[in-house]
Formats: sequence, C-alpha cells, structure tokens
Amino acid sequence: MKTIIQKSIYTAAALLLTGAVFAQNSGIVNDKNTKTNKTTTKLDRSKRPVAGPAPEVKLGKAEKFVMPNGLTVFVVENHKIPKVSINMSLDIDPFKEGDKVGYVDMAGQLIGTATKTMTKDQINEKVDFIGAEISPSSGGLYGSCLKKHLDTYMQIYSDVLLNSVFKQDELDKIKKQTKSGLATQKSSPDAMMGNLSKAVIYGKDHAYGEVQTEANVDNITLEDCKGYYDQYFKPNVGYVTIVGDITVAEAKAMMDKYLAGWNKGEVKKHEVPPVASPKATKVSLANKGGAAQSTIRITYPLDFKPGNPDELKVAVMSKILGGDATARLFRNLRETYNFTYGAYSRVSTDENIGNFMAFADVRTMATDSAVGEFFKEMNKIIDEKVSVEELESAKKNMAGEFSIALERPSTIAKFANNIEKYKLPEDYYQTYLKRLSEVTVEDVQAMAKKYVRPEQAYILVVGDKEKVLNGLKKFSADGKVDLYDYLGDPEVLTKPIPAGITAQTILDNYIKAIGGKENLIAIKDEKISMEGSVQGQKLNFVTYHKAATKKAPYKFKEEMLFNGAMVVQSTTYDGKRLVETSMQTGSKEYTGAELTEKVDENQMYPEMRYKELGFTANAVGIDNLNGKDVYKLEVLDKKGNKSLKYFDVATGLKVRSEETKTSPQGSVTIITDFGDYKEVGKVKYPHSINIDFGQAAIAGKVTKVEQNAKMDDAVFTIK
Amino acid sequence: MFKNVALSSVALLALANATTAQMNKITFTEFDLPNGLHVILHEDHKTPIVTVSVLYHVGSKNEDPKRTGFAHFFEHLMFEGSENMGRGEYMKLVESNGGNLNANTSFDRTYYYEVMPSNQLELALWMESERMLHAKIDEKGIETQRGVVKEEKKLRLDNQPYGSILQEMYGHAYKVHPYNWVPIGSAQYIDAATMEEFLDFYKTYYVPNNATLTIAGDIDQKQAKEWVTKYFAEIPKSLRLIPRPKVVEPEQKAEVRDTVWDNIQLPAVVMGYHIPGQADPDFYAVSMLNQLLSQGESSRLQKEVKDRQQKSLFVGSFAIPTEDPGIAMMFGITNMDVSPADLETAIDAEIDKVKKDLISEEEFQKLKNQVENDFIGSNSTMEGIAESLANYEVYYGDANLINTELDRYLKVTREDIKRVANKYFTKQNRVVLYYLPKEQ
Repeated sequence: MKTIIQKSIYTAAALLLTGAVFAQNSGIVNDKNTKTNKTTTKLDRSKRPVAGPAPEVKLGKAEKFVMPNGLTVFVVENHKIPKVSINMSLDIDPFKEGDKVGYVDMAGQLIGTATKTMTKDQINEKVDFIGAEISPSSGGLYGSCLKKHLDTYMQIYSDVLLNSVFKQDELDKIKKQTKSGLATQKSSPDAMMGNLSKAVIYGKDHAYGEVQTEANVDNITLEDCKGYYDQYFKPNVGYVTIVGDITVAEAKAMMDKYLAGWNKGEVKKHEVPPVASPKATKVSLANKGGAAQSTIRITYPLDFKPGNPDELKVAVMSKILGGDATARLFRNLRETYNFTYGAYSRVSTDENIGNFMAFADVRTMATDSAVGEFFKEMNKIIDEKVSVEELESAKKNMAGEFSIALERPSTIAKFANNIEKYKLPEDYYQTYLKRLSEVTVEDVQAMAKKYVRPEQAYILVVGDKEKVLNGLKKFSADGKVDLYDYLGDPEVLTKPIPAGITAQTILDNYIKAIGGKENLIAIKDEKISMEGSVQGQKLNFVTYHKAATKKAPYKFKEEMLFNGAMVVQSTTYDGKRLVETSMQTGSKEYTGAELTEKVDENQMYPEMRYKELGFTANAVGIDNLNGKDVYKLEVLDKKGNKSLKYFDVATGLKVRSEETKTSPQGSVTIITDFGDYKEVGKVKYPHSINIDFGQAAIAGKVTKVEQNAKMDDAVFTIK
Repeated sequence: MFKNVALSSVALLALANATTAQMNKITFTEFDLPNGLHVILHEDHKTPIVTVSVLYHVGSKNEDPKRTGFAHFFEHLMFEGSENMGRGEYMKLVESNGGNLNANTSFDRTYYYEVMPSNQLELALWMESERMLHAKIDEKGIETQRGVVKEEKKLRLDNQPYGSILQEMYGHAYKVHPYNWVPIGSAQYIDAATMEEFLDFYKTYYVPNNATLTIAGDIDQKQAKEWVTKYFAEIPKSLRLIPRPKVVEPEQKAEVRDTVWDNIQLPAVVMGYHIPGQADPDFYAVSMLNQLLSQGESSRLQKEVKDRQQKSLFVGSFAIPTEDPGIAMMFGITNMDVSPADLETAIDAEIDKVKKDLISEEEFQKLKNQVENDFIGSNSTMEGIAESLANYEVYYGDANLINTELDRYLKVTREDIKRVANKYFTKQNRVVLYYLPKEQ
C-alpha cells in the first residue's frame, strides 16, 4: 500500500487543491449584498470627495550645540504639554562578547542600581516620587518628566549617568533573572526566531549573531560590566536629544550645570566584519512541537547603509511589496488566502549590515503555500513593472506617513541626529517629499532587481517540524532543510546505534513484531481497503496482492477510487506486464529495468527478502520521532535508489518510510507514517496510514483486511 | 543618614506641592445630528493632519453566549467595503491617500479610526458614513475574515506563552455576566453564524444613535460640521431598541482556584479581584492601589517581591477599566526555582500590609504625582485626544473629563486606599490561577 497511493494522490491532491482555491475565489455565489436592500439616499454617494489643496508640511527646527567635553546636543522646542524628555545615546561600534554574551546588556541594567551617594531604593523612590521615568541601557540613558520637576530630575539623571556604582548582589540578581528569561525562550516563537536568524544569517561567531546561553551568564563578572561602563560611557561619543517644554537657552544652562563635568576619553573602535549572502536559497527550521502557527521570515543580509542613494527608491519598492495593508503581500496572503493575520516586508539600512526581510505568522498547514506566495510576489516585483496607480498610492502613503510622524517632536530630533550620525546632507529631510515625488516605476523595478533576491535567500521557519518540514524541502536549492534547536544550534537528531544491533536484527525484529516469517509466508493473497481524505475530499484505496506459487508468478494491483466506485487511477501487474492507468494522463506500461524496479518495491513484505531482491540496508542511528526513539535504516535498491525506514525501538514496528520520487512537478519527498497496528488473523497491520507529499497530505484509515480468500486472477487482468 | 533622607523627602514634597501642572486645556465643541449621531470636534493646527474616529457602543458584552467573538469579527467585516466601495478598497483608499487606519474591539465598544493629511478630511467622513449607512456584508468577505480572525487568535493567544491569561481569568471570574468571554471569542461560533445574524447585528448596533464621531486636528470647524451633516445626516435613525446587558454578576462568595496547563517554561500566578466599573468613585482608589503595588521600581511588589525577595521574573498589577464591574489583575512569572505558592504568599503579604497600615503621606504624594504625569502625557497626539474624547463621552457622559478627570483621582484619600484594599482585595472576592508548564 504505497506506490500507487503516493503517486496518484500526488496528482489528485494537486487537482483538489486547485478546486478548493477556485471555489473560494468564485465566492460561493457572487459579490453583491445578497440580503440588504439598496439604500435610497438624496446625496449621490457614488461621488467620492476630492482632496483639498495639499497642506504645507513644515519641518520643525532642531537646535544643535556641542559641549566642550564633546557631547552633541539637539533641542526641539514643543510647548504643547508641560513635559520634557532627554535621550542620550552612545555611538558605539558593535563588538563580540565571546563566551560572555550578555555582559554589555547587564552593564546597562546595572546602571542606576546605585550611585556614589544614593542606594537603589533612594534612586527609585526619587524618580517615582516625581512621576518621572528613567531607563538606562548599555547604549545610553532615556528619561522624561514634567517640566516643573526638571531640576530635581536632572540631579538624579546626571548622578545615574556619571556616578553609577556596580554591586555584586545586584549582578547576581540580574543573572538569576536572565537565566529565568532564557528558560522562557523555548516557548516563545519570537525568541526562537531571534536566535535562529542570528545563527543562520550572521553565524554565532559574529557580533550580530551571538546567542546568549546559561553558560555565558555564569562567565560574566562584575569587572566585565564595570569595564564596559568605564570605557564606553564617554561624552565624546554621546548624542543627546532634548524635546518638549523647554527653550534652547534653558537646555544649554541645564546641560552645563549637570553634564559639563562628564569627562571625555578615548573609546575603542571595532570593525564589524561583513557577512556573506547565501549563494542559493536554503531553508532553516527550528522545531516548536505543536505550534499553533508557523513563524516565517524570508531574509538575507545587504550592504545598505543609511543615506545610500537608493534608500528612498528602495523604500517605495518595499512599500508596494509589503509595506502595509494595501501592499501585495497583505492582499495576497491575508485577504486572498487568509493564511495569516498579516504579511509584510522591509528593507532595513544599517551602518554595518542591512537586510531584506519578508515575514508572517501563518496557519501551520499553509506553511509551504505561504512561502510559495512570498516568492511569487518577490519574483513578480522583479519581473513586472508596478502600475502607475500602485506607485502613486505608495508615494502618497509615504508622504502622509512623513507628515503624520512630524506630529511627534521627537521625529525632528531623530532627523537631526541621523544627519549628524550618518553624515547625511543637511537638507536630507527637507528634500524628502520632493525626492519621493520623483520616484518612477522604472526606479521601482530597478530596485527590485538589485535588492530582491528570491534565488539567494534564507527561509527561516519556527514551527511544528512534523507538520511543516516536508513541504519546505522544495524551496531549498539542495532540497534539504537544516534543523535547529531553540537556541539556534543545529539539532542533534541521531544517536549512535548500540552495539549488537544491526540493520538485519532490526529487520528481523520487525518481521517478528508483525507476526513472524511463518505467518507471513502463509498469506497467499491479501486485499486491503483504506479510506482517506485529502483536503476534506474522501477517497478510497484498495490493494490486491497474490503471492507467487509454483505455477504462477507474483501479482499485484492498486486502485484509487472516487466516491467508492469510480477508479481514477490504478496500477496492475499481472505477473508479466505492469500498466499504470490514470483518468488524467491515460495508460503507461513499464518495461525493462523500470519494470523490475517497480515489481521489487511492491513486494508483499519486502523487508523479509531484501537479500533476494538485492537491496542493502544500513542502520544509521537512533532518531526521535513524535517523542519516541526509532531506528533509522537507509535502504538502497539494486539501482542505488535510497529510501529511509524507521522502526520503533520499543515495539520493533515500522513507523515511517521516506523516499524521494520524481514527478511531473519535480522531485517530491514522500513520507508515510504507519500507526495503530492491529492484528488480523495472525499478522499485525497498520490501520492508520498518513502520507505526506509536501504539497498535500492524505490521512488514511484501513477499513478492511482480507486474507487467503482465494483471490480471482481476473482481478489482475490488464485491459 | 536617615536624617538626610528624611530631609530630602520633605524638600521634594514641598516642591511637588508647590505647583499643579500647567496643563494646556483641550478645547472642543459638540453637537448632535437629528438622527442621534453625537459629534465632537477638536481643532489644532500644529501639524497638517486629522484624526477621524467612530466609536460604536457595542462590544463583546453585547454578544449572545452562543455567538462569542461576534463584535470583533464584525470589526473585520467592516473593512470589506460598502455599496460604493469595492472589496479591499477601504484600507487602500486611506493608505493610498497618505493615511493610516485601524480598529479595535473591547468588552464594551468597537472603535474605528483614520489618521489622514488634513486635506483628506472629507474623504474620511464619506468613508465612515458609507460604513455606517450601507457596509457590504457578503459571503466572500465573511469567509475570508473567518480565516483571518482564526489566525489573529492563534497569533495573540494560542501561540504565545501566557497568551490565554485574560481569557482564563474572565472565564473563571464571571458566571452569568458576558465578561465571561473575551472579545476574540470562539471560532466555532463565528463559523456557525448565518448571514441573517450578521445583517441583524449590523442593523441593531451600527446606527447613528449608537455612535460617536470624533474629529481632531487641522480642521476648520464650520467646514467640518458642513461635511458631517452632508454625509451623516441622511443616515436613518434606528428605531430598534439597542440591547444592553442588564445582567449583574452575583457577588462571589468563595475564592475560585484553578490550574491552567500551558506551553510555558516558568510557572505563573494570576490573581483577579472583582472591582467596580470604571466610572465608580471607588475605581479611582482601586486604580491608585494598583499603582502603589506595581508602578515604578519603588512600588511595593517591584521592590519587595521582585527585587528584594527575587521571587519573580516579572510582576504587575492592573485595574482593568470596564463599563460594568471589572477585575483588578495581578500577574507574576516565577523566578527560577520559585514555586507559584511561594510567589502567591509574597504577593499576599504585600496586600495584607496595605490593608493593615495606612500608607505614608510621602508614598501617597508619589501616587498623585504619578497620576498627574501619566494624565498629562496621555494626550500628546490627535489620535490619543480623539480616542479619549470619545471614551469620556460614551462611558461617563462627559467629554470634558479629558481636562478634569485628574480631579477625581486627587479626591482619593489615603484612607480610601486602605478601605478599598479591605473591601475588594479579599480571598472570597478573588480568582487565583496557577499557570504550570505542560509536559513536553
């Protein structure tokens, strides 16, 4: 019960899938309001309002000054509400933390836990008392407060920034919390995706790719953290943005009073090595057993720095591809197929390594279909020019986003900061809207060709391996899916075979488990009926086998039926000729080596007679399948075609077979799971047979097994 | 040393009391159309943008228990178009004209909004009026959104560790009141709903006399009023009775306890206490009590349970505002090697302290300062102002609370905080859930 089901279902399933999609697209009946009465209105409501003249977008101003200690300050005045925010960020090159991953972050957490004159409780009480906020991190210090508390607040702020004292008991607390946090990663798809993408894109030996472990946490010392704070918290690499209910003069006086005493010092520079782009598309999967959805990212690194002349054109391209709810990915994956709550793409700049990323959380069973649609859209935007309407819509949206963002005064501060930090032209944001209006459809296509790389992408998936693995293989250039654990380490699947166990003992054990050689040989003929469903469609399968006798050769037949009666596909071997008949493609006869191959693999119990068939089997190791240990056997037929068989270590029963076949649609890996073994006569048969083809899967239940019923030879007649 | 601390705190106190915040008053005008639509306008020309929002006073508490998730599902359907807008055009029209949009559904209401360049105000009004007058509800949209909403539920609840805490808490806390289920509801009911039910829901709740339209931003009020009248006045007033649940959850007589097995690594404790609805004066005291427990690093739970005793990785305490009597919820994830019972005991000890001892003047002043800071910071964007105005109008009948709600907090006394702790934070009035890791 293998070949026919596998092969014919593959085509039938493809057919049914299209059917389902078509029914959905046709929308059951039609698109009109089936039940509502047309409303009668006085106003001609079909006339859409026309926009008034575009309002002038005014960019607020940021004042800049540099303090003698090198601290660069931007001030944006905004008196709408009586609050002030102060954001100090440090321009520090990313660097590797080695076997102490996380110490930089812990240094950030230690800032503000005590100062030379205040305990932790005093600091917290003072900040909370004025209802203010203070958030230290390894990259700077952010805070905000009501204007009326600003002076009190700045006393705390500057003390925390300049005089923080690190204590061992605080570090111990942070380490304990960090370990607890690491433990929670196993159940968080987002944390798992974070680790997976670091490991795959950058490698764990790169500043962008390091993944924290418990062992790393143990290695971190108080001196490590102190060292970071002492060496990197320097005003000459600092940028401060002050935003809110404050004048430039007030800000100057305030900074002078509180931060003039911050001493400059040399800050170590670090080179961030570039990372290679994938040469061909590959798939990496982190298993989250039982996951309700698959988290998908299609991504690759890019050399794409802020201020790159392509930046704005790329942003327009990316907007059309996956920027919002009007974009292609959302319309396709959500509104057409409802695979997901949302699908998007981004192209991000970075001083060192930028990236392309398309992403969605999708229904588990639609994982490979969703990936397929992502690629369809990526290819489409390369191959075809976008419409003028789409382009104009994207540009208008971006122009709107730009002015909406200006409502927040921090936007102006960020602009000023970017100009300084990335050495952008002074009028970079002044000219934004003009440059945006000049982007053409040709630009968009050129950007897609340059930056969208479906042939060289990483497909990263966090999801239920058992359900999604097989369907993902076809997207990988080499047909392989690399498996990772939740920390982004390659999954170690296979344990060694214990001494004394060989392929032969595993096979013998299996034969014994299903009833023993004697009982199997006693079966002269056998008919197995199975009911299965593909995409909700019921199908029936029947196989007939008749063992060889002294007078007659071995014969077999397999059939797939619709509605229990109509034979849609069959394979018949009458002992001499083997013919495959399909309602779709007609008949095909196998001859020569192909014939032998097919007859061999369709023996009744081939595991019993590998030697006489010329097959070789090799025990590879012990895998884990659905929580159970299984022996993994690699089987080669006479021609060297490889297949894999898995046998339960505890029961000896065969639980899975895996083989790769060529089909009209390309190479397909077929995974068949056997379960629910029940005795019929003296032999155990699997009563649950699930077959997964990647594109589709069939869930089968064996309904009847008949043995030694003096099967009529007419069953095998070839018409 | 203590003398110095005491002194500095007195100085702080004096400073904090010296001035009340110089908050700029938010001005607005209101009017009703004859069909019952309530309209609120706020004019502000700082940025050339405008927010248009419509609040429909219908949420998951208006649902039939056999049709949970209906209000939220409806929110999705309401982007499918209208008699004059094709499928998918709603989002496109907003986004391709430079705006953004979204919507959300709570226990009590459904809220839609667009933020647009200010020259697109008329378009936004036309679109919202189309949605109110004759939104398109068809089988195709229903089918698509059924699938989308199922994925939303998986994303937010099923596939997230601790994602089900609200669902579990409200499910255990309410026996008869419709807060028994959360807005996302159950997929099975949406699958079972018929076209007639969808249309009936639309005709009942998506009517002008159940809606509040708010416009905030760079507008000319006279012009805005003209357009509002042009597009909304001809929408007929509904003569149907708008059903509001009258059911009152009976007082809980004994502590409810249960265990939830979830796909998590660290156990968690979730506690919920029954509290009054958001407009009740006691709600303000309860809200400040929760602040005392967990807002800021110096708060009781953060300082004692998380930092000093290291019992938790995370701890938080929130009074969840709802129209009908609601829940104050505490949520703590245990630190490594801490049992949930241990964490529960530590949290309880903090609650007992508030019940027993009046909080100090200084700590009380801190709470007032925090309230002031949060209140002032909450209205910094047109989007935020529009939503606050609508909420205040619908839930409290007074949009001007956007300027004055602070007074309600400032009326709360130290004694009130102790009193509400004793009144509401009792064992018999609570639900305690332990979240434990499922066997992997």
